Amino acid sequence: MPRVLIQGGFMRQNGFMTTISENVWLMFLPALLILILITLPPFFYTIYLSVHDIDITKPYLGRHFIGLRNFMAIFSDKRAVGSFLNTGILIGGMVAIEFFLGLLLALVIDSFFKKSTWLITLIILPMTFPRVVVGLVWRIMLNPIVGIINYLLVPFGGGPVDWLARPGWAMFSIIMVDVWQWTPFMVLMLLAGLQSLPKEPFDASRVDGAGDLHVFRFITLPLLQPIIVVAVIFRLIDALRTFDIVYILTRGGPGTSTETVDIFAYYMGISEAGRISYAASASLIVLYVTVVLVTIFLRFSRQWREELY
Amino acid sequence: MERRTVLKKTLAYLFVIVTLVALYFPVYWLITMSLKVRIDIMSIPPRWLFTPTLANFSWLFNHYSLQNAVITSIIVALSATCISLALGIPCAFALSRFAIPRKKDIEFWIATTRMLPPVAVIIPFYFIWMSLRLLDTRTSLVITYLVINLPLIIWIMMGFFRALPRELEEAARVDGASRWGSFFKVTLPLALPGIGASSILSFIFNWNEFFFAFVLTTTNRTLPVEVASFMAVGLEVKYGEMAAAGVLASIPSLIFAILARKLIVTGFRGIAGFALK
Repeated sequence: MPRVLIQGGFMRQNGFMTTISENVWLMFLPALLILILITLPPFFYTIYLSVHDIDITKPYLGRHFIGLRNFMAIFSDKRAVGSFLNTGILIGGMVAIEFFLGLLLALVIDSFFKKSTWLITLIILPMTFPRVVVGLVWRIMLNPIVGIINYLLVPFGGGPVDWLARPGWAMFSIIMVDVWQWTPFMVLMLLAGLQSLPKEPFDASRVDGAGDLHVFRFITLPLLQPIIVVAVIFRLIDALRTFDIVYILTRGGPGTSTETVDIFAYYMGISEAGRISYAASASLIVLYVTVVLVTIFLRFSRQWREELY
Repeated sequence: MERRTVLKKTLAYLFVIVTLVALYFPVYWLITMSLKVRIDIMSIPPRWLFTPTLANFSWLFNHYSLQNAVITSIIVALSATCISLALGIPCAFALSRFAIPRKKDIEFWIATTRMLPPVAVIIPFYFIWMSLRLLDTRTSLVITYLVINLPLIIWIMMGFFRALPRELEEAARVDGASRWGSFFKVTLPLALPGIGASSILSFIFNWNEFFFAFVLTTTNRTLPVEVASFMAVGLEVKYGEMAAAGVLASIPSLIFAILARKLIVTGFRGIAGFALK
C-alpha cells in the first residue's frame, strides 16, 4: 500500500503535514473496491454484448463482432423507438405533474402549516409503500367492472373507462399512480428549499405592498429556481426506472402502447426473445441519457451550493 | 381576521384535506380489502360497512408458500443493509475527514453509481450470476443490492460526518486514542442519528426492491415478487389474499418510516443534497 505524503488529515487546522496511513486506506478502499467490482464488470460486459450479435436461443450462430449495427437496428425498429418515446412521455408527464402539485403543496404547507410535523409525516408515508403493492391496489381500483374508481366517477358524468386496456388511458393511469406515490418527494424537496430561502427579500417586498402572486413570481420562484432544477432532474433520473409500476399495471400493454425501455429490454433480453445483444444496446442508450441528466444535475447542484454558501 | 385571510386559510385547509384523502384512500382500500370476504370485495356498489374477517390472512399462512418469501426478504434486506453499513460508514468517514488523492473524482463516481439505471446492468448481472451458478440465490441478491445501498449510505453519512466537529476527535487523538479508536469511541456515537437514517432508508429500499429480485430469482423470491405473482395464481384472481399479502409486505417499511420520520426527512434531503453539503 503506498504511503502518500499530503497536507490534510486530522491536523489540518494546525497546519501539520500528516501522512495517509494504511489505516485510512483500510477505511475507504474496501467499499470502493466492492463498488468497482459490482458496477464496472457489468458495465463493460454490456458494452461487449452491445457490439456483438448474440442470441441465446440460437447458440449455434456464435458470437460475431458487428460494431454499432445493433444501435442502428434499434433506431429503425418501430417497437424500440416506441419504447423510448413511451419512456419519454411517461417520465415527462409524471415529473411535470409531480412538480406542479408538489410546488403547490409545498407553498401551502410553508405558509399555513409550518409547524406541523405530523402533516409532513402523513405526506411522506405513501412513499415507503412497496411499489408492487401500490401497483396492485391501483390495478384493482382501476378494474373496469369491480373497481371503485369507475363507481365513484360515473355519478360525476365520467363514463365507465377501461383504464388499463386503452392505450391513452393506460399511459394516463401509470402516470397517475406514480404521481400518487412520488409527489410527496417533490413536496419534501421544495419545502426544504423554501425553508432555506433568506427572509429579507420577502419582508422588503411586503413593506412595498406586493401581492401574493407578485411575491411568488418575482421573489420566490427566482430564488427557488436552482432547487427546482435539482429536484426535477433528480426525479427524472429516478423516474427512468419505473419498471415495477408499469409491469404490474399493464405489462407494457395494451399492445406495446405503454412499453418502456426497461420492459422492452427485459422482454428482448431475458423473458421472451433471448436477443441479449440487442437488449444490451437499448439499455446502453438509457445509460447514456442518464449520464447526460446526471451531468446537468451536478452542474446545477453545484451552482445551488455556491449560491447557498 | 380579514376576510381575505380567512378565505385563503379555508382554501389551504381544503387543499390539504383533499390531498390527504387522495393519498390515503388507496391505503384504506387495501386494508379493508384484506379484511373482506370475496363477495364483499366484488360487490358494486361497494360495501362500506362489512364484517371484518381474518380469513385472507389465515389462508395466506396455511395455503401459500409465504414463509419462504418473508424469510428471503428479511435475510436479503438485513444483510445488504448491514454489509453496506460496515463498508460504507468508514468509507464516508475517510472521505469526509482526510485529504485523499482525487477525492472529488471518487465522490463524483460514487454519486453516479447510485443513479445507474438498473436496466443498464440487469442483463450482464443475469449472465454473470448464471455463469457463477449463483442465479436464484439470496447471495446474488445481497451482492446486487450493494449497488443501490453503498452509494446511498456513503452520501448520507458523508453529510453527517461533515456536520460533526473535528475538535472532539482531535482531542481524543491528543489524549492518545488511535485513529480507529477515536472513530469508534467518539465519532460513531455522535453520528448515530445519521446511521439510523441511512440504515432505515436502505432497509426500506431493499425491502421494497422489485426489479432485480424479479429478474434474478425464480424460487428464492422476495415478498414483493411473491405478491406480484398473485396476479397469475389460477384463473380467478385472489383479491382478498393478494391484499392481505400486500398489507404484510407494507408493514415493515411503514413501521420504520413512522418510528424514524424525522430521520427520513433528513435522509431524503441527504439523497438529493449529497452534492450540497
